[in-house]
Amino acid sequence: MKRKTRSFIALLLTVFMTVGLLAGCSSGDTSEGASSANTEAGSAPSAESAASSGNQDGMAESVVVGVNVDPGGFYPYNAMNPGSAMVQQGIFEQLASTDEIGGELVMVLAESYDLDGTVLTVKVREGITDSEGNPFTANDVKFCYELAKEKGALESWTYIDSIEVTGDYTVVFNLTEDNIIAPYKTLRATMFTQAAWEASGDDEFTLHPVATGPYKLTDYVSGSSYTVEYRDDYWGDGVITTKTLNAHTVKQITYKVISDVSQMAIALETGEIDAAQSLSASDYPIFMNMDTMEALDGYTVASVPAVYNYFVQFNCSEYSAADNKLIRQAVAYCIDNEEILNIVLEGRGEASITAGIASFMKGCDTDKLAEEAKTNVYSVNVEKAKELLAEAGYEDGITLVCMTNTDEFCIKAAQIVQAQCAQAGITVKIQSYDSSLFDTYRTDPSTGWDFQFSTWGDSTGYIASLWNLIFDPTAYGELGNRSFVTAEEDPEMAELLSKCLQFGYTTEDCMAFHEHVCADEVYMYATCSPVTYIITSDKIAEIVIGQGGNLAPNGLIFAQ
Amino acid sequence: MARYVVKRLLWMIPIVISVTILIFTIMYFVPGDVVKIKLGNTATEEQVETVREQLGLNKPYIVRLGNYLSDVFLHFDFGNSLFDNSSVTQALMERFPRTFVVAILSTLLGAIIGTPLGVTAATHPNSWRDYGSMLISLIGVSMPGFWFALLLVLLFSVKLGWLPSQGMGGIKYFILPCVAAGFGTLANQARYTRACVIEELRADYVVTARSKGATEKSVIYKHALPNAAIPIITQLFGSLAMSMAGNLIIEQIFGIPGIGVYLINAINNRDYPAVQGAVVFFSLILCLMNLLTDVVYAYVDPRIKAQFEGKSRKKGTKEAE
Repeated sequence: MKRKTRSFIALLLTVFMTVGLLAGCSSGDTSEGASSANTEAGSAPSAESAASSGNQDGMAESVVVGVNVDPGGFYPYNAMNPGSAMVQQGIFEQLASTDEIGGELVMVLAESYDLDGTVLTVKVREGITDSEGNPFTANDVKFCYELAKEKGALESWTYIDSIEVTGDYTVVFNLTEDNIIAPYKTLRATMFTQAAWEASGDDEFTLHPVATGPYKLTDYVSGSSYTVEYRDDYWGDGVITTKTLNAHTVKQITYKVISDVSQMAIALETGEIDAAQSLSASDYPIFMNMDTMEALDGYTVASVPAVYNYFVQFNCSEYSAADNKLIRQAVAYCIDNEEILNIVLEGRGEASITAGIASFMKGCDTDKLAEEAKTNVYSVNVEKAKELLAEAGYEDGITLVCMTNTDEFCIKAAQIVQAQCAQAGITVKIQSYDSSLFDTYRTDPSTGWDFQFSTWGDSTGYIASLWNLIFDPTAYGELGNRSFVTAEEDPEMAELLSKCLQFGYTTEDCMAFHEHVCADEVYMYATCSPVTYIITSDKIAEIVIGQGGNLAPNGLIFAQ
Repeated sequence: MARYVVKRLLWMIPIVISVTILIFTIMYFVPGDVVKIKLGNTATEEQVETVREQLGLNKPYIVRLGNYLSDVFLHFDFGNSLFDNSSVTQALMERFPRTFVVAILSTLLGAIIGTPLGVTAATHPNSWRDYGSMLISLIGVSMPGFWFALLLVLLFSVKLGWLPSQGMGGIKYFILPCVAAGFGTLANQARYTRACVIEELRADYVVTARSKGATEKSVIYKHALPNAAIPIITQLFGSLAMSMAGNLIIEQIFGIPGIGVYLINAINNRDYPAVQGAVVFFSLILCLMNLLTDVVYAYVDPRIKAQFEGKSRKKGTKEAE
């Protein structure tokens, strides 16, 4: 009898495994199949999932959002990641900020501001309280600045020389520079109350932040999930209305950390999450028709043009052969942006011509840049590249090292550039590093790289601000800018950049700078910018995108 | 026995200290700057220097090593994460139960199914049972864990909708991770058990037992299996120890915030205290698991127990003399 039982168990196990294998193997079929699977599977987990909508307050009950990175704490002055950017948007507020990519400043904690040269006077709104009921005043603004200074995290406060509190709700910033970025960055610094900070202390605040935003953190399981809930006592309700900054269309937002991209797609498919911030392009066909780029039944899709683009940035220091302009030009003549766009991004994006996305950044004539793209001086010309190499003394070819991080795009694009350059006799060796090493090596010109696939983003929305980030001749101290060019080596670059940053700059100023760094000196060569897709279940009628190109869960518009 | 356990516990001290010094030294020389990651790549050199000073990263190697050893071994404090300033000790303690549950359940699953499967295969060599069992174990050994995990998700979450595909919650959240992690253990366990039991069944004492008229059941379960137990236990506890150290792929796929994921994130962020803390923690676990294995040997094999008791008795006799 027992023997029979044992045999039965063994047989059962074999059958189970075989069925499992067959079922698994047959699941990677067409989008229709996947779509119908969603309908079937949706029933089981839907009780836990959310995005229920339509209640008396006009707010949806809850929504579950998949994020691929754990925020690792909520201290607002650390470097952001996609996991923290979305949630911080609901918890913390700034004096003023932009409601969408490249948008105009919207007053939030500030009621108004006045800029007189380098003196920025800000009037803080009265009646603001954080989630613990602490009032927010001008003293808190000063406290935040001093805390950020003490902690060394001053990205938003770079241009502040000093702060004076001249009244309970009035604060005066003495700025270091009279340019378009200084007031913009200063007003966008994240704020919270001194009382909240002192009540929790250094270690606690990062895990249990208390701030003035419409949501408060109610639960955080490191590496797994975190939840924010709408504050019934939110000060801004009825005071300001914005699309994303202080929007609150849902009572509870749960963020699930799903680091595996394929699991993110499965979670959306099974209804365990309602919205996914980042999906692999290979999973798009599960949710959308790839010919029309429209959502399949059961889903809502929004295309998001990236707020950044990828460009080749040369190491112009003495440690690299790329300090020779002829070499940089030769490489530029080899690169075919359309090929990179079509192969790596499968056409989902647009070819670039400068650092930054001119089309939705302020400060540059989009039409002029588009025209420039058509007549790009570095249109593919292998013969010209060979001539330049010969002129530089490398008739027999040259070997250059291309450094990338582990970004899928960068590696694939580098491989294509490698093949393109080979036609002109330029051997490109690709070295990929994890983000930590990449960020370390990119600041050191002597680490053996000649050019890198780089991407920079800037939150102000001014293209000149982004250029300043990249080409500021003091960015790396004595080493110069991020291509290792100093003001002494290229005073024209410094002067043109300075003009772009002044109030009253003209389109001609911006075009002159662009032509100098991209065409004349070739410190960088822009390739393309991707378009990504944010996909949600159809419980969400309209996807709202925040200022950084991230999903804004607090502003989602739910289906009735 | 108690003396042996104490002796082994004392031996753990130099081992763990050595591991601590080693990992601290490796992390010290690993290239990559945690401060630049923490502040973002737009931070100026001045800001980077300020934070580096605050975190004590400018101090000489020997001073930092001394401080670290003192914190870990005198105060059981692995320090704070350089990335988010959270306590590493607390993070490890929070995450260990999740890793522990998956490790225990998956190992149990492997043992409960794998051992009988191996015995069945061994006692019915060259039969369909043997081939069936070995086919299953061959699949388990050959198939990458992450792939099997994804197959399970596709079947039970996407197709059938019975179980959640990932995340943390009730017991149902642990089913797929434990099955996925346990399949490899099951396969290894079955193969190992089969080999060991076959070896024992060929031994002379088995022939003697059979010739004395012992039933086949008695021969297998009372004679062969206990003698085959030592290598089987070694294999089983080895699997358990490795799982305890964080089943990285399973944790990653199923979104379990365990120690494995914590360590990988820490490495990527160059979060030195977190990496060091996790590795020292692993070394402690591995030492304890080895000790536990030895103790279990004593209970399973009377010869080993007798060895310990014999030593104690000998000492006792000498002392009496």
